[in-house]
Amino acid sequence: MKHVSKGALKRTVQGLALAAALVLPAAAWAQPAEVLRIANPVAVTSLDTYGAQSADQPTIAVMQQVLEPLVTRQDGELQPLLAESWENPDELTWRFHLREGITFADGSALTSADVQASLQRLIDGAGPLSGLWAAVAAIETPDPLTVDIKTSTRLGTVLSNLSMLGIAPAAALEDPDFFTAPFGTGPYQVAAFTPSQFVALERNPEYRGDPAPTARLEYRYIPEVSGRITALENNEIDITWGLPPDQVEQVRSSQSLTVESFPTYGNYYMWYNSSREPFTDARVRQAMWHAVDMEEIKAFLFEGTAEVARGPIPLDVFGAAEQAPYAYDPDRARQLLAEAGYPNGFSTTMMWSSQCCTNIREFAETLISYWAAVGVQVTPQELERATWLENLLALNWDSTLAEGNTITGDADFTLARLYLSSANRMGYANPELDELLLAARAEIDQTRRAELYAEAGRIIWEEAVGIFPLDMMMHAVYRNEVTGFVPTPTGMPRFDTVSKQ
Amino acid sequence: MAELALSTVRTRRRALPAGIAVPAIVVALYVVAAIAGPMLLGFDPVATSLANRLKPPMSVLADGSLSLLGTDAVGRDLLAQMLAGARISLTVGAATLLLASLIGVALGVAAGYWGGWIDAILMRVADIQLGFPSILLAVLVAAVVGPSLTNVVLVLAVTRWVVFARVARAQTLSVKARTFVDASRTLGASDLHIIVNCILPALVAPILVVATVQFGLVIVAEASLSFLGLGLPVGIPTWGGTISAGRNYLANAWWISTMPGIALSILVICVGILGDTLRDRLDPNLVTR
Repeated sequence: MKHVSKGALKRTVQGLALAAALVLPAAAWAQPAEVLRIANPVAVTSLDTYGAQSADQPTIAVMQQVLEPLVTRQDGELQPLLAESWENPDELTWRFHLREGITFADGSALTSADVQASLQRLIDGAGPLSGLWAAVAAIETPDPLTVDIKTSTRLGTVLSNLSMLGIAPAAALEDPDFFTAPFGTGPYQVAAFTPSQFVALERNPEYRGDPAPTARLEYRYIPEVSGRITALENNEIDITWGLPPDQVEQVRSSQSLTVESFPTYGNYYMWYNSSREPFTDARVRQAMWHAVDMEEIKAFLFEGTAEVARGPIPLDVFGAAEQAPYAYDPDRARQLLAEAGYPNGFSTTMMWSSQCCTNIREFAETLISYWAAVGVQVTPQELERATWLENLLALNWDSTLAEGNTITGDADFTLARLYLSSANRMGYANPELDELLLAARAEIDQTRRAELYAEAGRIIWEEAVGIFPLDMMMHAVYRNEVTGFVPTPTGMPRFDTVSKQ
Repeated sequence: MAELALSTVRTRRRALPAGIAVPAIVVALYVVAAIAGPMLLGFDPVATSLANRLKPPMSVLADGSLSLLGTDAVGRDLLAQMLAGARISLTVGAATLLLASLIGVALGVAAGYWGGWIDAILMRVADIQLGFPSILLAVLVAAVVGPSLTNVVLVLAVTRWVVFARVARAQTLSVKARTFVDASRTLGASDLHIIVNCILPALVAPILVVATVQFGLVIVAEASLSFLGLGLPVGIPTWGGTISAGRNYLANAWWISTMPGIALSILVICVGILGDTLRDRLDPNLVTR
């Protein structure tokens, strides 16, 4: 008879127990269809949309599902949301009537005091969006469902600015810990938040509309593109966005993934520091634009991901207009340089932020090689984002390459905020341009506003304040089980229509 | 000591063992490639050629030329880039070693010869520095001083001098105790004379061994700094920079990262083997000799 030693029996039992222990939790971890696992390409560092992160796209992308604004931009038009109607009793007052019966996730009712507190908080926060409200003199609440925004000068941008203001409960805004787990009137509320790593959203039971299809959203930050793609293919995450074009091609051939590409309000821009030689001369700036073959760049580096820009902001943005394109003409470039006094070219530098944008290093190197062909020697400076931002704001650069996004969908957000000489963002000062931009901001008639911005855009384009090469599309990639994804032109995806089978 | 070993080899007419010959030949090939390569196969860091981007190895480019190792993300030939990068890597390696060995030997000999508080201070400084992982120290200093060739050489030399100092000090201590040094001193030789004529010759062999081992480490350290974006500025081709630039293309253009990686590995392995074999042959204390 075969003798089985006590030791061998014990080890076998232990081995089986270990195997069972490994298998059972894996079975428990099998994701229920009630959780959508999202990988965001840029880390969410804060959920406070009223302070320094008020224009931060990762923050807004999450919080737009938690806090709702008074009006929202849909299909290019501004639609009522928390406000059901509005009027201008006089040209310095905007009056909004709130919908009745809306409650926050904690059960408290939405009143005009909440709108007043939210807007005041944004203004006091002195963040990037507070400058949009500089003309506000007072916010009044004549009754619980009416808000009056009184301005010191006429302000035509109130509606589009309001589309960026989420309304939070006034009482909660007093709480310093509110933004660790904020809630609002939106379809979701924040359940958990670890800065720069993880955000979890759960359905808001008090939401007045249909409940969102997915009960829980989990955002994870995976910095490397290859890491995100691997996680998608291994069913560790369900959806991500912001993939560079070369990786998008690789993903298109995958059997289990779907790619959705859509135009956005975002574009690439290259700025000259117009307060420094030789960029004080418009001919030099125009020459460098003529020296670049944008069509070839788009065909090779950005196929399916960008279109050659036809204006300083994408044409879908309110107030954008098509401009006359700069032809690829190196001879004209050399001629302009000679006219400006640089027949043998000159040397300068260009800086950019290393992890900023799609294919930025390849793009920069290609631009530099085109400029070298007409005699302009550009030294590349690839910097860490924090250093780049510091240099940018201090005007300590010759030229810079970056991506911008007109997140309000309104030309004022980009053209007025950045190109007014008082903003001093790139050293360009043109009194005619300032006049146009200020008039457009104050104009209450939206049609006339659009005309004024079109004219301002023409000046910026023809004076070559910068080179505006490409309007960017965005790619969202998700597993085939995911349905209901609706692209947002702001480039900040929403998931309150998304479900998983 | 070193001369004795080599002359013994010569009189016995024994061929150099494969352990020395093969890696030495490979390293020599790299040096030749670094010197002559960029002259034969010019690399222009500025010129890009989008029509040729991401072409695999052994493909024919738009102008009819053959690309042996493929092209990178903006269409530049990878082999030309690697040859230019070899020049940079070997230059940085040699310059760093020269600087580190000069500093290290000077400080080590001073500490060993005069002893006392000089020795105590220098060796404590060395100990403190050895407490930091060298790559962390390099990253820290490089992030502060910014990217440039001189900065990289300085940073790497600062992290490497300690090994040289310790070896020099140990050898100095052992030679200093020898009778012939006492004899020289009795005859009135000055400190400088003793150092130059008695101690330095004894250092040649051990420092040579240390140098060969450190060479490989320095090259990898420079590649790591460039990979992290803290080494040489964008526009100067380096192996680390090329590997880093290829990291997003591993799935569709694997050669951009892999080719420089293989070249780097082979060089470092050969340098390491060379160092090991030299140490075996030149160390008078090894019983196996």
